[in-house]
Parts: sequence; structure tokens; C-alpha cells
Amino acid sequence: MKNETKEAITIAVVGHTNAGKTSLLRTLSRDKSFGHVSGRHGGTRHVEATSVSINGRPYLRLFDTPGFEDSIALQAYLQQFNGLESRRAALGAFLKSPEAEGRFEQEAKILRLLLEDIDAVFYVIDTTETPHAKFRCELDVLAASSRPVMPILNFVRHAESRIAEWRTVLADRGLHVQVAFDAVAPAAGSERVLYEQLSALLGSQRAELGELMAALAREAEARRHAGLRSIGELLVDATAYRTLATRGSPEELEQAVGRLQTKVRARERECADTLLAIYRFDRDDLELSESPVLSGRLEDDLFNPEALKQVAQRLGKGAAIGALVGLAADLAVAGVSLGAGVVVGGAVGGMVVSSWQKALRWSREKLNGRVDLSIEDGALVLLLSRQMQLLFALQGRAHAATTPLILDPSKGNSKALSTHLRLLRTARAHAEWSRLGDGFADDAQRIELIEAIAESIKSVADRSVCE
Amino acid sequence: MAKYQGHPGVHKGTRRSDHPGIISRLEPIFASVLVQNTTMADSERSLPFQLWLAEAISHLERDGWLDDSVALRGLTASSGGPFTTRRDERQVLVLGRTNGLNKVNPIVRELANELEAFRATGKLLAIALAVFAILGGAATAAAVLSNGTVNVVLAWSALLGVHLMTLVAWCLGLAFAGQHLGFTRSGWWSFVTQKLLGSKHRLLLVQAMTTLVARTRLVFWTYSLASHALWSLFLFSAVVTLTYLFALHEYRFTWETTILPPTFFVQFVDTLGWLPSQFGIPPPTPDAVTRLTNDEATRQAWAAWILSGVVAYGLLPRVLLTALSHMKRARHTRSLALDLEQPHYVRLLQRIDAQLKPDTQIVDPAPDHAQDLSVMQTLPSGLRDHRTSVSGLIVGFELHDDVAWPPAELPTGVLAEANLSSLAEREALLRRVARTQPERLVVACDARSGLDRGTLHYLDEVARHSGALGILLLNQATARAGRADNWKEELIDRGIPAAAIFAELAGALEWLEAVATPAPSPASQHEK
Repeated sequence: MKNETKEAITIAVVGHTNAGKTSLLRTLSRDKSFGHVSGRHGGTRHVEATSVSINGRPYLRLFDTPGFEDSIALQAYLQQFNGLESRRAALGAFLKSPEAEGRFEQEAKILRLLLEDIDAVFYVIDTTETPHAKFRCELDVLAASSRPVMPILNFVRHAESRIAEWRTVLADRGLHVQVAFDAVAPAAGSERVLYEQLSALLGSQRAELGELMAALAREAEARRHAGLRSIGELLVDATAYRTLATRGSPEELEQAVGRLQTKVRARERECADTLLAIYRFDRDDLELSESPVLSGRLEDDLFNPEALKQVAQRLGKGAAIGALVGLAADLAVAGVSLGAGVVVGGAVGGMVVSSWQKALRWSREKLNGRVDLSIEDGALVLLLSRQMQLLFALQGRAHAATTPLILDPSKGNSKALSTHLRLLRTARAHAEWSRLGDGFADDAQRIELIEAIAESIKSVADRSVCE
Repeated sequence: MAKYQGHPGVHKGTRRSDHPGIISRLEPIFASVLVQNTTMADSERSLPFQLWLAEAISHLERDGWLDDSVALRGLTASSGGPFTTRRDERQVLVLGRTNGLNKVNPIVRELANELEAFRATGKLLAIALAVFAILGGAATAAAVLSNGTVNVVLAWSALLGVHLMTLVAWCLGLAFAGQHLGFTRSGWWSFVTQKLLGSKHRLLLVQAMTTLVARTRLVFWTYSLASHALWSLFLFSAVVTLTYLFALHEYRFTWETTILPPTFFVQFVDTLGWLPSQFGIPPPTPDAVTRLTNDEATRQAWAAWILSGVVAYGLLPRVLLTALSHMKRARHTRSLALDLEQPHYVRLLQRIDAQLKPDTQIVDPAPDHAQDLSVMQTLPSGLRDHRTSVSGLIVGFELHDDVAWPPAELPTGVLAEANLSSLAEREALLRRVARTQPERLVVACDARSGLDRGTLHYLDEVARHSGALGILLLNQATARAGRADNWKEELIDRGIPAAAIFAELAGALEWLEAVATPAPSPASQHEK
């Protein structure tokens, strides 16, 4: 009998000890501090409840349980309650028996939970284990609880995964609605598959699960959009930044170059941190350092010689580029003020005059022998490539191609690359659009530009998905 | 400001700005007029105001979050409903936090006050411009009719020339992407307004408004509304002045030329008289035009021609466009919303979600973990509502080791919490109190400890979520001289009545039990 005012779907997560239940719950509930995972004997000892919530409203209530450890003996012990009217009643009788607080105290916790008003049970399987008899006993005991059971096959990405054997065992018991998951490195979309399968299992809750999936999809889209915008803003800030140096003074030039590189590096780091934060990671996360793709993206230096060589080849320049910092070509007035989207009238007047101001400044600086330094296209390409790789990795596409996508010389990518560079050209003329310099001023055009860049990156990302 | 009178077109921000600062001079008007003015109670602000404040806070928080723990605790997750209406629950949550911050955080209150000042200044400037428009209209009309002979063509162009040109410019702007009427910024302008408004966060607020309306056409329509409204006032006042002068002076109407043929003028008068003639006001006859007769009928015809021309080609279109701009602007304002797919908002919503979701709870603990703060001793039947209703709650706070806590015997309905000291424990209690909202809560403190700001702040926060707070001040007799009195004074200063400060457990328990009606269980509060 289901209570009418029930708010969330309740699910018990059971499995043999160290099968990965707690990790699974951390992934689903997005709470890194939930429970504790330990390799030694005895991870979870309590029954702990957490929830999957959207905007604070819980949709799913998940109960982490201690693992089954002594299932064969348990099943043998349960024989004595065989004569009762249902297997469920047998479990109830077991819970009143003395060994429920003795030898089988841990298993009793699990069973006590299952006899409450639970909607479904996730049975988590470590697929690197051989399907021994003890696991079959666990499945039998679960069947006795008369709750819908969904097996979750964990560690499927592992080299020693025996997923086929397990599928046979499960089919043997009629458990066909199942999910292959990898709690530590989930593939993109695997969460969605899990909820879809759950919704097949729990027909009556299909509407709520549908809502949950839609809300999760919306959250994922919002994350992606925010990530793309973050990259776009990084590119605009980097492109628009100028620093001055005196022509003919090598030390000053070197200093200026160093300054620019430092600022751009720091800004890139900021962008990477934002992306991590959006995907709920921290630089100190254990999982992060264990993932080579992710940590690699964060530790490499932007301006290192290898990268320069690669980019030089890609952009078709013969010799290696020195510092990826070039002399800025201060654009002519016409290139700036008559671009698309400028309203007639005073705006034109305003822009023309401000461009005259820029032209005046430029010529004054020429007279003083000062030059403007700004970042070159090659470095922008590198920035974009690195951050896109990071974003992909965070989205769960850890199996992305090894050559950075942007530097892949296929035709589609070349076109996309030139689109990005063209968009950024507008930014070069507006030094005030860079947060790295003084006199930062935000305006509608800058925001539009960031959005346009985000869109064009997205189209590249969509095209080169290899799933 | 004197410039405006000489160049009536300039303050519309169109073509003839010979100074880049003109548009940026209009920043505060736009920025403030963009926010609809509705009646404001203390706590209820209009939605655009809230959106602007939220956006300003997000700009402020680029370098780190504000201290928003109180505001977050005051949020409640939406209670559900059909899926379609829950689409903007994220914005509701963010605005809830904004309003919460406005109430408690001094930085945010300052921002809100500056926003208000901005709007007030904007309104003032709008009024000033309106006055100038009216005066300008009257002055132009008076100038046109300044001597007894009126050169009709010059009169027409003086009254309507600039208006028509700016109207055409506006139409072009409407056609070609009215979005990028950006706020340019020049150094001297920020210096001037800094002195005028003296507002620390002026730049922040302008940037916040830029971000908020960046991808809408709100700026264009606000600018249109301002422009058309001011022109309407100008033309209206011109019409009134013209009528007044025509009524009380006698004028001769003439045209002069060196190079144009007379037929041009006949044509001119006829063409421009077309629209008024549709409304039954015929222009002067071609004969009268050519021969420049000066009889009464002709004079009246000329006057009618001028007046009706100004109304038909000037006032009427402008008034209609004002109405249109107002409608469009209102529509765009209504659909204004926060762009929640920004990195800042994504992270903020993650924080809000973490705050609002039900706590992780240990249900059915392992045998050696019986006395955890968040532990419930038995599996609740039903499993879903973990908010037990208690009539009274008594909590130990930083008690010394030799105090026996929790107290051994408690009456039914009173729950004791363990001795709090770490941050996690404090936070857990606050969350619990925020959820259960007990009517009466007693915090047991040790008078032998000193009273510090952190403790007072914490007691404030606890008091915020409970009906009444009582303090059980233990060990008053053995405390150092003056400490117990210090406690009592400070507590009374903070608003805890002397009757709610107890020296003995028994007194505190009695007070707790004296709740008139038991607190309703939160489950029943959420019944549909």
C-alpha cells in the first residue's frame, strides 16, 4: 500500500561488501562526502540515507547498506523459517530470531530495511568477481523480500570485468532489467540509462522518474553551457589584453612578454578551476589525480616548447614560434566601427570618436617608440584546445581521441578553427574587454561575442563526438 | 545642460552626437528607467529590482561568495506541483537568496540602497529632461513666430525638421538590430558621476544592468520610449504655444526664394497638407499660395495648415510610438529573467541544492555509534518524513566536561541534543532547527565560560528559527565574579526576557512544557 503523500521514491542499495555501493551513491547524489569507502574489511557499517535532489527537492531517497558478508550461512539459517505462508514472512521471522542480533547483525540491518516500504532495490555487483554461490544466495534472499530488484553491474570498464558471466547468472534468475555502470568513471549518459531502466522496472513511478531525468538533462545542459561560456570568456580576456613595451629595449620587451604570459596562465588556471567547480570537482580531489586525462590538462604549461611546435605545424608556420606573443596590429577604425550589429545614429558617432581616440593613442605611442604586445593566434588555439579537452573529460567522455581535437587537421576542424579566430578578431580591437588589464568595461557586444564563441565551440564539440 | 536647448535632437541620442559622452551621459537614465517603478513596500520589491540586485550580487561575488548562511537557511525548496510550472523554480530560489541577503547582509543592503538612489536620480533626470523638452517646444514655437511675418517653409522645418530626421533614424535602428545600443564609457563621465552620485558601486550596478539586459531588446525600447515621450512633450508644448500665439497675434504668412520656382511652394503646401485634409482641414488654396493674399480666410488657412501639420506629422506619430514603445517595453520587462546558465549561477544553484536537500542521516546505526547527533534510534516507519515533531528541544552548548549531559530524566516530548561545540555540530543543529521550527528551544550554557561574539551570533541565528529561545545558565554560583551577571546582561540586551534565563534544569523544562499547543508536525503542514 503506497502512502498518498509520499514525496520521494525510496531505493535500497545492497550488494556484497566492497561492491561499490557507497561510490555509486556518491556519484548519484553528487555528494562527495557521503559515507566512507575503505578497502579494508568493513566499509559501511550503518544504514545511511541520502537523496537525489533537484533544486533541493528530493526525488529519490537512497539507502546505503552494509554489505552482505555471510550469505551462504544466512541462507542456511533461513531454512528453519521455511514453513511460513510467504518468503517475506520468513524474513520477518528471521529478524526476530536471536542470530539477527548476533552473527547476522549486519545482514539483519539490510533485511530490516527491505521489509520497510521500499520501492526498489539496487543490487550492486562487482563484475571483476567470479559469480560464486554466495552471490546467488544474496540474489535469492533479495527475491524473498518481494521487492523489485535491479542489478547494477559495476566496474564494467575494468580490464578483468566478467560481465558476460554475470549476465548469464542474472538471466537465469529472470533479472533482465539491469544497468552496466562504472561508479568511479561513469560514461556520459550512463546515469540517464540507469533511471530509464529503473523507470521500466517501476511502472507506477514513471512520471516522477521522467521528471527527474528531464531535470537532470536540463542541469547537464546548463553545466555545459556555463562551461562553454567560461571558455569563451577566457578567450576574450586573453585576446583583448594588451601590454606596452618600449621598442628597442630588449629587457623591457622580455619583461612585458613575461607579464603577459603570467597573466594568461593565471587566467587559464582560473577558467580551469571554474570548469572543475561547475562539475563539482576540486583540485585536491582524489579522483582527479587518478584520472590521467584530467590531471594532465591541469598541470601542463600553456607556453611550453612542445605545444608551440605542434601549433606551428598546425598553423602552417615553418619555424617554431617564439613566445606566442606578437605585436598587436591595432586595427583601423573601419574594421571596428562598421561591423555587424551597430545601430545607426549616435552609437556610430560614439564609436567613431572612440576609435579616433584609439587611433590617436596608437600614433602617440608610435611616436614614443612604444609597442603593444598581445597574444598570438597560436596561443589562442592552444588555450581553446586545452580547455575543450578538460571540458570533454569532465563531461565523462574520458575516451576522447588522443590528439587534441582542435589540432586535428581534418577539414571540418580547420573551418571551425578559422571561425573561432575570426570571431576573436573583434576582441583584439577592444582592450577594455579584458579583465586582465585595467579599465575593464563590460558591454552588450562583449557578452554577445562570448555567446557566439560558446555556440561555435559547441558545434565543434557536437560534431566530433565519437560515441 | 544648456546644450540641450540648442540641439533638441541630441538628447535623443541619435545621429548628431558630436561628443562621445552624450550617450554615456544617458546611462543613469537608461539604467534606472529600465527598472519599472511600482509601489514598494519594505520587503516587497518589484521583480526587475530583484533581478538587478541579484545580478549585482553575482558580479560582486566574482571573487568569492558572500556570507550567506543565514539567507540560505531561510530558503525552502518548492513544494512541488505540475512540472511545467516548476520551470523557473531555480530563479525563485536565487531571488529568495537575494532577498534574504538584502535583509541581513550590510554590503547587500548598501547595494540595494544605491540601486534606489540610482533610480531616484534617474527619475529626477527624466523629469528634468521632460521640463527641458516642454520649454524647448515652447521656445521653438515662440522663435518661429517671433516676428509678425512667418516664413512658412522655415517654420515647418524648424518645428518638424529635426523630429522627422530623428524619426527616420529610429526607424532604421528598429530595422537593423536595435540590440547593440551599448553603454560606452569614457573616463571623464565616470569621474563626473562619481562626484555626482558618490556611489561606490556605481560601475558594478551599471555592469549588472548590462549583463541583465544584454540579450534582450529592452535597451532599445527603453531608449525609444524616452525619445518618443520627450519628443511628444516637445511637440505638444509647441502646439499649445502656437495655438496661444495664433489666437492673440496677427501674423502674415509668406514664402521667399532666390532660386526655387513658385510651383515648388504650391507643391510643398499641397503635399504636406494632404494628411490634415483627410481630417477635414484643407490647406490654403494654390491661388492663395501663389499670390500670397493676406485676407483673413487665408491667414486662418495658413495657421490651420501649420498647426495641423505639426499635429499630424509630429505629435500624432510620436504619441502613437510612445504608446507602442511603452507596450513593448512592458512586455520585455515582464519576460526579463536571470540567465542561469552562467558559471556563477550554476555553482550557486549547486550550493543551494546542497543546503536544501535533506541531510544524510544515519538510520539504524552500528552498535557502537549510538550517541551521534544525527542518529535516529530506530528506523522510522514510512521512512520518508524524517522531521519528527517535538514540542521542546534542549541543547547543550560548549558545556564543560563535568556537566552531565544529556540530562538523565526528560519529560516526554522534550528531546535533548548532545553537547555542541564543533562547526559541523553547530551547522547540523541550525539545519535541524530551521526544518522543525520548534516553538520553544532552550540552550544550556555554562556560566563559567566567557561570553564571546561568536556565541552571541550563534544564539541569534538559533533564535531566528525558533518561536522563543530560553537559556539555561548552569553553574552560576561557581562562576567567576561578574561572569554570570555579564551573561545575563548581554542576553537581556539581545532581547531574551529575564524570565527565560534559568539557573536550574527544572525551571527550563517547566518552561519548555508550558507550550500551549504542541507544534504541528511538519508532515501535516505539507498536506495538499
